[in-house]
Amino acid sequence: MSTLLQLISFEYRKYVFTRGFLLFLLLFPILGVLAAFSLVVSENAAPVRAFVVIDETGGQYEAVIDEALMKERTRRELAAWDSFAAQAVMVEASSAFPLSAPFAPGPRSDERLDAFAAAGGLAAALQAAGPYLRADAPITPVVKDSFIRLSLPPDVRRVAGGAEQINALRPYLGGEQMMPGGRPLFAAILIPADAGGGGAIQFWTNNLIDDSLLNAIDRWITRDLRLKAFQDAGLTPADVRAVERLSIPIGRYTLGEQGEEDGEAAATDFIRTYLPLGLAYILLVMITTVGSMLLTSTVEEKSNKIIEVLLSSVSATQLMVGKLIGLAVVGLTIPLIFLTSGGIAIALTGSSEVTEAIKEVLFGSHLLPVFLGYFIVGYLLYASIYLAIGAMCSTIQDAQSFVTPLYMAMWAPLPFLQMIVQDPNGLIARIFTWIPIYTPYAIMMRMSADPPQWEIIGASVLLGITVIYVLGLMGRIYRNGVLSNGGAPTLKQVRELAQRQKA
Amino acid sequence: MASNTASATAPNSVPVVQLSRLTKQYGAFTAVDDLSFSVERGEIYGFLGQNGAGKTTTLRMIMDIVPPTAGSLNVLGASRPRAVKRRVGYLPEERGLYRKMKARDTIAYFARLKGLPGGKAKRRADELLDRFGLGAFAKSKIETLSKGMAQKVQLLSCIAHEPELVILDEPFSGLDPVNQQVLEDMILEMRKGGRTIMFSTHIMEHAERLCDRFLMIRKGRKVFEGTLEEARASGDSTLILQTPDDPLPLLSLPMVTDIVAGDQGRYSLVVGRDADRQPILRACLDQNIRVEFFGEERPSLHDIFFQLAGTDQVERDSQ
Repeated sequence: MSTLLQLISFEYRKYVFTRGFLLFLLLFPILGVLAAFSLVVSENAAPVRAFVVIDETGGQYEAVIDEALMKERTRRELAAWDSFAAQAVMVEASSAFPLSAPFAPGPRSDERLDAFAAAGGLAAALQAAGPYLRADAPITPVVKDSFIRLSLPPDVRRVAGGAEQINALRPYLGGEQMMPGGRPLFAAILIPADAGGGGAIQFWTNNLIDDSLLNAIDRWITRDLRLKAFQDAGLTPADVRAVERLSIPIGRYTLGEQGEEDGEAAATDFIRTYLPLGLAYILLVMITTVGSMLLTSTVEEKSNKIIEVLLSSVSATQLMVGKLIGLAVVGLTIPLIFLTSGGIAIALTGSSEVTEAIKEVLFGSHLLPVFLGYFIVGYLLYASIYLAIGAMCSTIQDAQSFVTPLYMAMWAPLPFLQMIVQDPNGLIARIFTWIPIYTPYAIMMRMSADPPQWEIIGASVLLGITVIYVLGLMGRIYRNGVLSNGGAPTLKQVRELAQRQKA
Repeated sequence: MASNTASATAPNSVPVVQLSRLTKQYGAFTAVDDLSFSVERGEIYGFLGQNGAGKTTTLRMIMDIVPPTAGSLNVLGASRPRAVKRRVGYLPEERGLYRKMKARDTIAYFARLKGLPGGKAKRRADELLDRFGLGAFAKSKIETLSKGMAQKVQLLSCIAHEPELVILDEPFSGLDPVNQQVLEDMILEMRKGGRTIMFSTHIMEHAERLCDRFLMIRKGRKVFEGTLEEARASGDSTLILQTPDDPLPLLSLPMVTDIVAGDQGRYSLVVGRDADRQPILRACLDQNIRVEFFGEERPSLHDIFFQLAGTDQVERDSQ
């Protein structure tokens, strides 16, 4: 094995065959699973908010609230059913869905909601679907309520007057006393007798952060008031419903690639838009991670005085190239492993629309080669700077003073990210494309919007020239700085290191 | 020990290291100034000088780690030392190892960098560790070894590829007396195996015991090159006079340049190298200085170093 290969393999093994790296590989998918799990859990673990209503209008709005709560529950059940049915119910090719309306898939309209509730809701739907469930159907959905209305506790009911009752509810609202059944009271709603005619509803709670119930009550009662106003104006409830149902449908369309038909936006199109974004982010993370590995590796060799032993066997240039390549391979190992394990996971569990779309976008376009190309070029740019910093500094503390501005420069475009995403061919996006240190990210992010080819080529050429220049400059600093002693150099010393030529 | 040069410097042998008029400047500072010397095959060559005299810079130029500003050098027949790096073993003054690496892997890695194939490098590492009493620590990480053991591993790392020329920069510094002796034995063994060893030091005792020839430099310039005998002959002589009387009147003699008082009536008289001793004895008799002992003291390398490359010389020169 040549000396360079020795150096590359040494650097690679030093980072990859470590407990830390293996642990990272192991933990990363676990973290993904945890994240997915937390989504499910947070949905299930969201607290059920219990509230009481003191309705001084004689129960008029209490009924409105109860009806709205009922409807809300049906809506959730129908949504849960629809997403469950799409995955769990067997549909023979070319045959229709085995269940009829309202259990068959369809728009979640008021009519379907009503029919679904009338047919018995989720429980009835699950029972009806029983014979048609696939063997590998996901677990049956359970729908939880967000809000539950409780009746007033007996000791409060004995008190006369809304204000007094609220007063009597204080220990419940403060959490000192539980409601009958053991639930804590989240809120008490006092609806005055003149609620329809300008009187304000009082919403009593000790939780000022969660205003979901307040908004819901507002929505429900306002809707009821409007409905009544319409009726007073002579409209029938059916008319009002018809008016409410009015909406203009908008379909999302995208232009197909050449030779492809234009079509309604599908999963592929979304992935085509967002995958490059994700890849740009991965690019940034990879470059930063690997760059800091390079920095610590160089500083270690300097502070532990290994560098001169190494230099007696290899030249500074060989050492630098060995490190750059070795750690680039480390950087590429991470996505390669994830890609492979993703592939294996798909092969084992079968593919879905989304995984198919990801596959198509990754392998059906030039996204991967572009990603690889910009990773290498962008990596060389930043990594050579990290190397030079490492060569000048004997301790990580010394290096920090140089690394901080580098980090700041790297993350500077962050506030403009949204603008680039929303307008990938806009002015901001184009400006960042032409700043070499941001070119790789900018072009990755613009990929989905097909930026003008001359811009890609021009900016890439500029990037290439910059990389060659920076690599040369940083190489000189590395060669000259790697044997220097003392703390962090001054800017003047850095300039001298960059200029001094090897005789 | 220090006189066995006849076989090492056979008349027509090509020098292993040859420097001619080598200069290294860092900006306005001249670290090595017009330095020429040569190291012959099979000898132990001592490189002496104070801290900051330019020893490390010279060795780094020989190893092609820093380029010279002017002059030329030839190592193992190559004018670009890089071409023969694999035939040279180098232990720098500033040395360290990868703390997380195992002793055996460390030696094998540095040997592989010098071109030894992987399997052979590992076998060689095991063999060396066994021979130098570290066999049981082959799989220990460097950070768990004692300082002396780590230094041994360091030295083994630079000789595992069986180099023809071994260059050691201050190899004794930081070693306890036992390990200093181990290192001396290793150096002698390497010479027995036909290797050429060049080492720098500022501890004269090692050089005196080990070296066939020396180079002394001061402020980057050569002040002496040759054997210990030649060094002794090159400086002033010291005569020892033991007397109960005051010998100061002897300073009036032209050949006596200095008188230094020692213990119990012993005085060191510094005289010119070829000075005649008889007039001094006669002067003693004339001045009624009783002579209890009179004889020549063979200067140690330490004394010669002080004379040639030490601070006194620096001060004398600057006057």
